[in-house]
Amino acid sequence: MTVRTALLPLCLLHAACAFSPGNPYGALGGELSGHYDATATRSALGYEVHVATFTLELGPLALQGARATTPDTQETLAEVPLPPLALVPGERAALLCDEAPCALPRSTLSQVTLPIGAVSLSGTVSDAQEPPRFAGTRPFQLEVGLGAGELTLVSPLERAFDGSAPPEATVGFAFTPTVALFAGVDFAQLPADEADLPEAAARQVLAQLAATPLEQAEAGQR
Amino acid sequence: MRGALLLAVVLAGGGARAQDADAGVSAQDLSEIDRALQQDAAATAAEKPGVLERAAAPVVSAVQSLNPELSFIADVALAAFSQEAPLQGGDHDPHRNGFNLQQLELAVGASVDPYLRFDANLVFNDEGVEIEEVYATTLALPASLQARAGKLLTRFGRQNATHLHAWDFVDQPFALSRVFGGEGNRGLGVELSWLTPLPWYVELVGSATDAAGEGSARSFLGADDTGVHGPLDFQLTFALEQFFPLTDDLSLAWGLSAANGPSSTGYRNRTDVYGTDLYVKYRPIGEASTTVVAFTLELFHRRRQVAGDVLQDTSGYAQLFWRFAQRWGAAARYELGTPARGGSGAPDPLDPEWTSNRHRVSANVTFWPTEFSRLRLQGSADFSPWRPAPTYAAFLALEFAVGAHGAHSF
Repeated sequence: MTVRTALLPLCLLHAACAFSPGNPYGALGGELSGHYDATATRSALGYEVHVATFTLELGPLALQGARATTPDTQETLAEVPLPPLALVPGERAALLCDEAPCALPRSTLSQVTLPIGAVSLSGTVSDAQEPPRFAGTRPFQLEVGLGAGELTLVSPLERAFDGSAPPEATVGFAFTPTVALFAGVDFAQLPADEADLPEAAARQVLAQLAATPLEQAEAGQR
Repeated sequence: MRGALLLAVVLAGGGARAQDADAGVSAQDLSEIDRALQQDAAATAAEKPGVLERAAAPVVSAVQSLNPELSFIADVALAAFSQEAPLQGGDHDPHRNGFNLQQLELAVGASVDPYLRFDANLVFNDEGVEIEEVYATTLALPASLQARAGKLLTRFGRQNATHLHAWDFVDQPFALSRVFGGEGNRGLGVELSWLTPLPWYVELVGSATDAAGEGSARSFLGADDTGVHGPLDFQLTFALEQFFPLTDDLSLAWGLSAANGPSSTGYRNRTDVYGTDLYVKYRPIGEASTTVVAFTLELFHRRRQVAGDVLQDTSGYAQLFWRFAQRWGAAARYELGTPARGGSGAPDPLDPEWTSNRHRVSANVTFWPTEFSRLRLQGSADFSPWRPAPTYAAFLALEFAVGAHGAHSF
């Protein structure tokens, strides 16, 4: 007879005992989808931009909010690690937050933040205007590593995990940049023999990337 | 029923007198006997309260309860620690080098009426005043039942339900502060106890109390009071207490306890605490001796659900007390606490640094000038492996009391 068996009658009296592994107050699941939307190809300055590769290295998705015990203090309550995300042709990353390190305490979420650690982007560009500002098609690329806090996507997320409902919650996020990324890049002004975007142009692309909303979506939707 | 019984006795008495007359008792003798019986009856009637007096008895009792038994018990200590932040878990333990006011306890008790007794313990210290206990105890429940209601220390194990002045050491065993909190396990609630009709002393106790309280229910909801939405949101405590008088001089008490309640670690998570306690007391009563030797062992096994795991740990202490002279006693105590471990390596949310066994040994000498004061010198060594060095402590504690204070249980 095991100790557990011997104690079972007492536990039956109690109607509930601490035998099986417990739950967090919140266990957020779902996915993050990333996709470069190539529906439109003409940039604001009239260039035809075709993106061939586009990969983001992502920091952990941080679930931010306030604990029930300290409702006035906003803090990061859990972090969900994410793999690099290929936006061309598009990729989905699962949000696995049911393990203890990602478990949510009794709390109310207010937002998620997603830091971007590196951007790798390449493609070609041609001029759609007549007469063209440069002839033919030019390649371009952007390879940039980012420090902590340099580029962080933010999305509001109102969810309460107060113990009144089972902890499992599903949420989806979609990150869908478009040709608007290149709105401020005047490709004709860039060196013709240099594929790497110069710093000023890169900064403009990153600024547009930061302005791209991280939208909530049904899990499984793109 | 009572009247019918009286009538039967009178009738039986009449029958006996007739039989006496038949046996040859003279009429004069019978007259004298009758007169004597009447005088006895008159005297008895004079001693017994009348109907009005009997009706007024609860009122008198209630008036008397306006003057309850009061006692003040002060505990102060001079402390010296080898480290700046000692791991003293009890809220009334000496915590810092120098003088410490452990507490000033005001104990109040009185009968409310023939059905209830009032007891309260208010504690004053540097942080203010707290109601340690206030409860009503029933006095007239049938079937050997007794109930308490109010704010009360649960009867989990041996030491939890007692107050500082009843302890054999200056400080609380760390098992209690670790499992229940620095105040001991208590809460607002109700308790029902039943003294079973078995040939030996067996008492069953069950209680339902608040599961929240940072210093009194830390393994349950602690400071995170999620409210009460159903019966399982209370802490439920059960205890079985037995007493065996082995000889006239030697007795043994053995208890089993269990507590279950909600945990603040997650959705519908629970905490279980199981305990056993053993108390063996030798006190020779066949001779004029003040010797008392008492051994106490108390163990707590705790299971806590946390996200993705169940954490388990065991804490306990064993102590030996020896009153070797009328005014002198000595005691030694060993304490052990194992780390909380689960299958997945989840950290202990309450004591994350407690990753290996903690040991503490203590010893003291006590001098009682009278029953109303005591002076205790205690030393201890705390081996907490997560600290760079053991913590050594020395206490010189003085307790002094005034007023009427009820006797404590065995």
